[in-house]
Amino acid sequence: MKIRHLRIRLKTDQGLHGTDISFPDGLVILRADNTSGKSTCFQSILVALGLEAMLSVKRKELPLHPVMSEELFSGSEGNPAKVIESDIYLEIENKNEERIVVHRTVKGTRNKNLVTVTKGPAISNPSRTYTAEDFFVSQPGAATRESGFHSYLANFLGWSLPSVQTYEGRQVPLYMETIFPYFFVEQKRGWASLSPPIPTHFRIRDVHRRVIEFLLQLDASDIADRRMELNNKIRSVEARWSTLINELQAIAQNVSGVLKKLPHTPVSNWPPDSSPVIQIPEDNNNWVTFEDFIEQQQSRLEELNSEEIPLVNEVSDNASVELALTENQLREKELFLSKYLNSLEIERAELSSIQQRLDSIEVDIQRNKDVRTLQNLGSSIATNVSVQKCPTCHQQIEDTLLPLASDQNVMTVDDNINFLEQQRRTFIAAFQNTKAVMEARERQIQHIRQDIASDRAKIRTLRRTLISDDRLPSMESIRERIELETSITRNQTLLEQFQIRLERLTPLADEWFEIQKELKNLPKEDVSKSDKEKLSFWNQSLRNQLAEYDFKSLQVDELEISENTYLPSHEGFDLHTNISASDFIRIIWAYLNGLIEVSRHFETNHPGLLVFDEPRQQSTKDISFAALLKQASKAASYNNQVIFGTSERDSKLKEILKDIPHEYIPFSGRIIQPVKI
Amino acid sequence: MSVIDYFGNNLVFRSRPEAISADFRPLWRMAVVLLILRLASYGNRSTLSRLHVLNWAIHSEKNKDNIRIIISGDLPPDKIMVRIEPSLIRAIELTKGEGLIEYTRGKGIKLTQKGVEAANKVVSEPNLLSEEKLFLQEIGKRKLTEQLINKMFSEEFR
Repeated sequence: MKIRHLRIRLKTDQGLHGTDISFPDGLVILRADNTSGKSTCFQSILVALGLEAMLSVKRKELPLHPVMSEELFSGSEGNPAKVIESDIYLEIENKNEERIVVHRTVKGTRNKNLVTVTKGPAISNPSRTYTAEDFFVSQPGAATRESGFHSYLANFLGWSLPSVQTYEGRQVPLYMETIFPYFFVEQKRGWASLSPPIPTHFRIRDVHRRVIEFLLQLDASDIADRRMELNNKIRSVEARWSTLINELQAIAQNVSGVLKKLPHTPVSNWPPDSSPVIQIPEDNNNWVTFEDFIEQQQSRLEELNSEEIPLVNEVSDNASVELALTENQLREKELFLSKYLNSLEIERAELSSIQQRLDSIEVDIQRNKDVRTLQNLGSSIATNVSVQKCPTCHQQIEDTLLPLASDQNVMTVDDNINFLEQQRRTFIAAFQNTKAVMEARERQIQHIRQDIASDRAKIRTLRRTLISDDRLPSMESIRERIELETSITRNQTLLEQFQIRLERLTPLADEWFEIQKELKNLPKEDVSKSDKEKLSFWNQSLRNQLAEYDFKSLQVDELEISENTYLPSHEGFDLHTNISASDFIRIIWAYLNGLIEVSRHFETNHPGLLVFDEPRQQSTKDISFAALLKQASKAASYNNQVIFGTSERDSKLKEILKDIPHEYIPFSGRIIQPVKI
Repeated sequence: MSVIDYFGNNLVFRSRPEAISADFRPLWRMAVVLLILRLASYGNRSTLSRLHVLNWAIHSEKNKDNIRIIISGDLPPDKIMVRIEPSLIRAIELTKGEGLIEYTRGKGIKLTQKGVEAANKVVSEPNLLSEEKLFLQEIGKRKLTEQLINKMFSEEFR
């Protein structure tokens, strides 16, 4: 990215004021006095690009010097001129040498959050006409929606903004306001800390890492992205698997059956050698598979169908016998039911008592952890007891308030915690076991209740048969057949549904297997070989530059860019406290200039632009600043643009810049001047 | 062949360390004593009986609830059986040994300056004895009066 032209226009009651500044390639020095409006220019560049969040979070007005919206001194130093309208026009160029002009109104009738993009170099080449399009900034969606300016700008710069996580777990794009501080250092905040000032209200997790991963195009962010993608896929598979399992359970429950051997979380190996089956309880404690149950029903139906439906007079003798039999059966079943209900109560009580035990184990584990914390606070609370000494006689004491036999001792707190955790595992297993027994019992009860209902229906129809006309067909026989037929049809449908869903588990298991395999094959650290090369180059550049800039607080080769934070560190520690103020500045120079140097030798997302507003060279020695400018001038040979804004004395600058290729843009007095139309 | 014969002389019994409930660790109970005095005792001082009552309360939610309804007056104080634990006495002795409390004439047990500092450390440490702190702060320094305590104990011997 290159900044080509900045144009500011202020309509005042004393005429039109403003400025026009052109920026060529290579090293550009913009020299002006401190109160001349130099910083206002740099801030205007940011505002034109919709990056005012870098300057301030206040939404009401744009964070610019009042000269842009209130009043300014007219050129003649007379009465101040009141600003009626102010506009910023910024012409920028991308790596394909395409240019656009961005127009934003700071004060006036146009919406302040509107940005008009003219798709051509309308400032440097005004003779042609170009198309224009409006975009919005500083509203939610500016970086994601098509009509958002940052979305357009990212595209223009050839950036594909990665999706990152916030502290709340939401996904947001890596906002440009977090990226620009790494190559655009404005005067107010840019020199205050070693890490570029990133607005925190976006609440992006590990934001510095994310920006470096993006700017240097590290594979790390791709790997991290892929890992996140895979984790999302895992969750999706888990959800679909869980739904299927629930549906299978529901079918089992529907037929009063119990379903065993179903994994509740996805597995890679499916189907297993012995497929899961639904088991139906028969009388007593026999269980038979659902398929066998249906078969049994079918053979009974065949039996019945092979006989004709008997007439009442044919069955009446049998009917009364059968009635008696069925009534007996019913009583037996009712007895079983009450037995099962009893057992269920007992099992429920046991479950509850296991739960209580688990709860009390939890409490004890927590209290043991309390003891551990107290031991760590140790000497500040109980100097002697915390090391197991009696406070009066200083002899060894056991870590317990209970009396012990002379050769007994107590476990250490850590062992005790392990012991409790083992107990917890045992009780959790017991809990799950009891729960499974309870569920099987509930199915048994459900099944036997259905049988009882069926028996009662049978008894009713038998009784009716016995009192109906001899010549009519036996109602009971009819009922029996109908009931059986309906039951078989229903069961077959359910069996089919069961099998369909069971089959759907197979492709899910395959998907699961593939995801797990890929996850395992992802490199453990997120950093790849080419990443290491880039970081190493950056490290080396940092050190070389610091040597050139005469960095003295520490040994230069003990400094490095931390692999964890990507910030400069000394033997693993933060640098803030052990370096001088001037060395602090030197590090910022070397760090950020190092980034652009990496971009010259590797493929990165760095825009090839570096802007320093007031690089604080007055706190360092002259030779350091000279060395910095020399390094910065390399920009010309790499088609980069490095812009420095400084209020350094003209004579001193000319001296330093003697043998360095550069472009010099001086201003004597105010930058904003009356403009002739 | 019996099991012992099978192993011959190779059957060895080793004494293993005992597991104990964490509230019998001296440090834990001492911390509770400090908290009771600091959070729930007026002037950081309390009688022994009162310490026993609050120590008993901390044992379970049920006991805590009982204390709450005694304070609110919905239950006569003589209706609960407070358990007196020798282990608390031992913890108090150790606390005195560490110079964190002193015995004052007449009015029982009080935190020393060192004890106040130690108690403050326990209070300000996050994730430490959280349940107990919450309960004692709820009770506060004035609600569980010595009068109520007396009623609890004197009725017992009626």
